[in-house]
Amino acid sequence: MGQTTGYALPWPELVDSADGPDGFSDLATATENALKSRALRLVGAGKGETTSSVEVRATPYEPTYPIVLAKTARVVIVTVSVCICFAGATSGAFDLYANWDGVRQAWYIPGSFSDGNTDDRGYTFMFAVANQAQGNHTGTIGMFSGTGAVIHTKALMYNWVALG
Amino acid sequence: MGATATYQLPWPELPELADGPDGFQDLALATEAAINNNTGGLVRSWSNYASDNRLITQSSPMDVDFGTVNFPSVARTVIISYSFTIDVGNGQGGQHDLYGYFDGQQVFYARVDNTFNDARTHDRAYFWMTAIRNIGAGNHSVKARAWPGGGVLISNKMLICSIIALG
Repeated sequence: MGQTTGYALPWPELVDSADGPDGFSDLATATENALKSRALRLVGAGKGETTSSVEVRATPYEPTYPIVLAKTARVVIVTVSVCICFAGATSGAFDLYANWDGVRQAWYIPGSFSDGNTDDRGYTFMFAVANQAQGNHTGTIGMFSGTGAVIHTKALMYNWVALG
Repeated sequence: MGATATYQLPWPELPELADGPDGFQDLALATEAAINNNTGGLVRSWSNYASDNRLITQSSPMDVDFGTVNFPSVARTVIISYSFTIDVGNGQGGQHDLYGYFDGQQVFYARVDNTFNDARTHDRAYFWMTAIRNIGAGNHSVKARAWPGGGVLISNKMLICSIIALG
C-alpha cells in the first residue's frame, strides 16, 4: 500500500488500524490519477491551408480557418508557413501576421528586397496560446502591403497541435 | 480539509488527534502544487526576426542578436525554431551553416551542404526546430549566426526565431 506504478508516498505508512484499510494506497492511486488527468497529452491536431495566387496590396488578405477542440487545451502550438512571390520585382515591406480567435499572436514586417531575380519567399513561424476552451475557434493568417510591395500568395498553411 | 480547488483526498480525514493539525489539507495542497509545477503549462510564447538584405560571406558572417526573452517561471522544455529565407548570389553553389545560441551557449547547428543554384533558382527557405530543457525563470539571451563555411555568397531576406517555453 502507499505505492503505485508511478508514485510513492514519502513516509512510512501508518498501521491499518490507525488509517483504515488500504488508505494510503487509495491516496497514491488518487494522486497518480490526478497527474495523468492533468499532464499534457494530445487533445487534437489539425490544419488549414490556402493555395492560391491572390494579389495582395494595401487591403489585408486574411484567410481564416475553423478549429474545433474536442476538449479543453492547456497549450495549443501553432505553426504557420507562408509561400509568396513579389510581383514584378516590386520592393518594399509588408505586414505578415497570424491570429488565434481574432487576436494577433505573431507579427512581422519583412522587407521584400526583390531584384527581379529573387521574387520568391517562404516564411515559417510558430507561437502558442494557453488555456483554450473546448469547442470552436478560428485561426487566421494575415498580410497586407502598406508600403508598396505587391504580393502574390502561393500557399498558406496554419497547423495546430493542442495539448491538454 | 483534505480538498483543494481541483483535488480531493479519497476518504474522510482522520481526527486531528490521530493525524495532526491540518495534516491532510497540507498534503492535498502540496500534492496539487506538485502537479501544477510538473505538468507542462505554457510559460512563454515569443518571437523575433531580422529582415534586411545583408550579404553573408565566409569572411563576413551574419550575427543576429534577437534580444532577451523573459520566462516568468521555470521552463522544463523550450522549443526553438528557426526560419531562414535567403537568396543565393549569382549562380553560386555550396555550403552554408546556421548556429543558434541561448544564453551564450550553442544550442543548434545546421549545415546546408549545397544550395544547388543553377542561376535561375536563387531563392531558398529553410525551417528547423530544436528543444532545450530545464531553463530558469528570468531573462535569457537569444542569438544566431549564419556563416557560409563553404564559401557560397548568400543574402539574408528574413531570419525568424520563435520560442515556445513549457513549464
